[in-house]
Amino acid sequence: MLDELLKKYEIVIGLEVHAQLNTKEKLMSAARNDFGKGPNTSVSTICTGMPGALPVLNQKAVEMAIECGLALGCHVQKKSIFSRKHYFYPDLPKGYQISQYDLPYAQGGAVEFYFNNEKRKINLQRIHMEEDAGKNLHLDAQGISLVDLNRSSVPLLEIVSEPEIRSPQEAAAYLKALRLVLRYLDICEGNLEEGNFRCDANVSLRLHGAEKFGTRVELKNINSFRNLERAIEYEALRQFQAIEDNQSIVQETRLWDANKNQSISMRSKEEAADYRYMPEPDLYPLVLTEKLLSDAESRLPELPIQKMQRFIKTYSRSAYEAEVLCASKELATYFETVAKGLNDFDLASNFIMTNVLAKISNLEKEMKSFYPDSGALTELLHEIQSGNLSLGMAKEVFETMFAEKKKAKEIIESKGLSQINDEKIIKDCVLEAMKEFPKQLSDFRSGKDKLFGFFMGQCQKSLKGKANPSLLKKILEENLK
Amino acid sequence: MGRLAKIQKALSEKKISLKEFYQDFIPQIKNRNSKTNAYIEIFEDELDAQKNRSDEYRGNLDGLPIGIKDIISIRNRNLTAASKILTGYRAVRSATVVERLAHVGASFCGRLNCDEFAMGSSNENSAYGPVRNPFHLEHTAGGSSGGSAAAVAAEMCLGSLGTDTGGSIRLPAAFCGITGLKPTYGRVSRSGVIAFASSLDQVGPMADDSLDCAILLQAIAGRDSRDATSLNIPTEDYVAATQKRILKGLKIGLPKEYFNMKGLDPEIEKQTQESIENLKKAGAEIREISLPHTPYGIAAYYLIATAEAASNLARYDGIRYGKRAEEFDSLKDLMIKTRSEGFGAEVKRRIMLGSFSLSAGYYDAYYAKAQFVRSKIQREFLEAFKSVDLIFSPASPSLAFKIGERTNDPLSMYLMDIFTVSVNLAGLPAIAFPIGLSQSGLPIGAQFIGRPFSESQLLSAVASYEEGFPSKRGALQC
Amino acid sequence: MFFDVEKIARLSYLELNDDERKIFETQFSDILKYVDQLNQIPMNSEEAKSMNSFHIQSAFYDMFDLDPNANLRSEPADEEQKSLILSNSEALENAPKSSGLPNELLFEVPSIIER
Repeated sequence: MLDELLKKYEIVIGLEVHAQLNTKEKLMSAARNDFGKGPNTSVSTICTGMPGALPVLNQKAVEMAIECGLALGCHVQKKSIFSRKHYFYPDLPKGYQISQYDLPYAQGGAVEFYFNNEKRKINLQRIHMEEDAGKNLHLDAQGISLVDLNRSSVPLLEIVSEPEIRSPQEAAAYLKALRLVLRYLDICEGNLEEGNFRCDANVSLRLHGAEKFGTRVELKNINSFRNLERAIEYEALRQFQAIEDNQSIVQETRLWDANKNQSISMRSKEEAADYRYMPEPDLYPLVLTEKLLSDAESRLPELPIQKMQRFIKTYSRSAYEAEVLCASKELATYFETVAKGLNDFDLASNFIMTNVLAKISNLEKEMKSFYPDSGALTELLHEIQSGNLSLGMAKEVFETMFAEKKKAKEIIESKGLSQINDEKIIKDCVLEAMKEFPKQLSDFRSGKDKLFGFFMGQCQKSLKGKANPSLLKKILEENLK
Repeated sequence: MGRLAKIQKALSEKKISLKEFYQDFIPQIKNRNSKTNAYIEIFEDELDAQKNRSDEYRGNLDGLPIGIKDIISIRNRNLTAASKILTGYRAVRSATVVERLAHVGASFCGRLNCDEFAMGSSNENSAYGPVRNPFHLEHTAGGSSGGSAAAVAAEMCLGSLGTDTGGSIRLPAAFCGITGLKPTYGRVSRSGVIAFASSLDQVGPMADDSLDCAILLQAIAGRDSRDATSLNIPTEDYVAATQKRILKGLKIGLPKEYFNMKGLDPEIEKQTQESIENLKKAGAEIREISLPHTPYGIAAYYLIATAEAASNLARYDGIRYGKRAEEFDSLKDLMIKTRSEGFGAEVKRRIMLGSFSLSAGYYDAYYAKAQFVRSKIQREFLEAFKSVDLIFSPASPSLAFKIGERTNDPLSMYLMDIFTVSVNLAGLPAIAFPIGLSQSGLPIGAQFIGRPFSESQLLSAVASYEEGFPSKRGALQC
Repeated sequence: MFFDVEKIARLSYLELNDDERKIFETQFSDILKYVDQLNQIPMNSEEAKSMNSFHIQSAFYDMFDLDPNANLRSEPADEEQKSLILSNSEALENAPKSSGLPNELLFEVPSIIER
């Protein structure tokens, strides 16, 4: 079905992301921006919409917003204003949300990422700041809903892309890349499941070669990268089916149901919402001074795409390897430290990707405190470089380092694991093995090449695996003949 | 000296004790309130506590009864905005202005009646009944801070706080023959004050005279980190300002558009002209100025104020506080019924007008246009202040009218704000003060308008006028 | 201009009875006629757009040379701003209906959004 669709149409996708900023306090209220605790325990008069309460803008949120705008190459407006967006709902205590409407603080910009080994760039429409709303807990069986305002006025950045994404997979790649930028900036946790990073997708179909966009449908309630792909694919097919059946596409919002793998229409009988946007009179227009901008600029770290490109160039990594190694800022720094320390980029990269990453299930939580740290790992890999350890042995030492939190040298010494590079010892061992296994020797000499490995194994066994493998191989080759 | 300053002096000089003061005051406040309805609630517990104090007066406002308009929060006291929708609501925090008054010892004697959500010019829109003019009980006390004005005039407090969005301090001050100051927008914190129109509201003192107002202003003025529109401009010595005599050589502007107004009550016109002569006698230089966009002030005001009001009142939905409707068949119905049952007619009118002016398709023609006119009005004032120091005008086009006289004609009620709205639109400070009485004994008030943050000068001007041309006090009917 | 009283009432979450609707229709007609005099003042699209960032205090910021970002809140907030933080019981004190464990109360509303 998808193939048929793609023959006729291209899928046009735009993503709208809401990222919660990890400030200590809320956007307009000094209540804590932290809702690990019970409901309605991080609130103030402002975020509960009490009579007489006034908003005061959080400077840290502004600073983070500017960093994000600059990092994504946006045009950051010198002057922007907040607007009230009006609608009635229990999780919106003032009856309006303080957001930005016609004068957002950032416009344009782009997210760059590698997709199918090619560099891709999706342009942004705008970024603006706004308050989050509270949460409704629906207890339908009892006919009630419970409202928790802990999340009310938590700072959000709304990041809107241009409709330039063309496949569900590309959408996921874009979202991952955007998330990574926010993680590098350390302004958002970026967790779709936990809801501090939310994504809505606008999907429509367009005939190949046509200029006009089709009617778009908004998809909500996407809580994982997988579900993003599934929801978009489902929607594209649904629209395709509808068009084939000569039905028109209604512009609407649909909720993704991850359990049933389908979307449900949220269409209500009312006329389209009129938000009656009004400039927020309680706040002075936001003026982004030279100082605010230059301070933010100086706080910018090297961004993921820059780092990946540098790893490709300076450390001769492939795009794939660069992506893996840059998956977190800590991992990238880890790799770089080791690579520089060894001056062997392949060794560093391969060992880290194979062995270090195997030990980590949650990179963001575990990398910072991972042991062996970059210094300890560099020491370990030095032992390979100096010939003191074989690769196989180094892996074992690594396991012990991880389990016992000890340094390489300590483990090597205490277990006497130094690689044997003494040709005489190895030769003696080889000759022993040849004496011990005459049948296998004659079989080998009569053409059973596979038995070479048998002798490799036997020698390593008697030398407790410490024989320098290439040296052993050379001596075996010299003597087995 | 106003009553507040007099009592302060008497207490400091130990000529009277707080106990003695309250012994007379308590029956007086209760008795006169039954006639005027100035208070929604008198804090009898507080009055008793002050009366039964064993320690002595500690200076400033210590123990002195100050009335608070019932849209300004006092922690743990009810707060209704004179509306049914907030029946039973108790404030969890005090407004900044209340905190600051408490800091200098003030005793809050009660919650003052007002128009519902501060919307009105006659205090007839209250869910708790109208406030009666202490000089003529069948007449209104003006609004929306009618209770604040009546309480001061009838000596039911030594001073009060009101709020002014389009004239709500100055008009009732004029109707009740007292002094009321609307500070510059941003001079006094709005934190904890129920918002009507966010870009127009200001809290201000209402009291017997300029000195009493200065004492109150001194306590409440100044930057508050909880109100992003309160500005970091240093406060001045407002009390000292009332000692200055500044009329000689002062350049006072008379806006010709104000004085060409049709429908100005002839007694007010006569008294105002007399006042102008007085100012000349005192050595002031009177000049005619022009504020060409004056005629559009009310229209612009009623589009901006109602839009902001509709927005600010969206939070009253019966979910987190207030009186929830009892019968409803869904969440949406709960909110609609709560609001429909809880809001009075004027509030509903303004909410709808406000929603309309912000609605899709009408925003440019109404709200944006009104702001545009507003920017012109502000510019005209600031331009005028290049050639004059103060602007003088009547405070109200009519004397306190009879209760019920204008309630069926909202537009005629809106036109009461003709001399006052432009000041709020421009964000400027202004002060209303008594200049005489009508034949029937109703007070007549005038107004000075000043440059941004010129409250000292306004107080000095009124103090100078008070000394040179003391105004006759009316006879209380209560 | 046409004032659809029913539509605006719905938008404002207000329900009018027949009498109210009739009275309001007349009153709004008068009021809108009055405010229509603003049409006498021309405003081009540039000027309209600039109203989006209009603030009455801009003149004051200029006059007194104030820092436009002086009123932002730095973290941690000062004591006065923190004083507006509420405990769970304070936040729910005035709630018409609430439920949940003590100190973890939530606001309770009907779950059917609309019929």
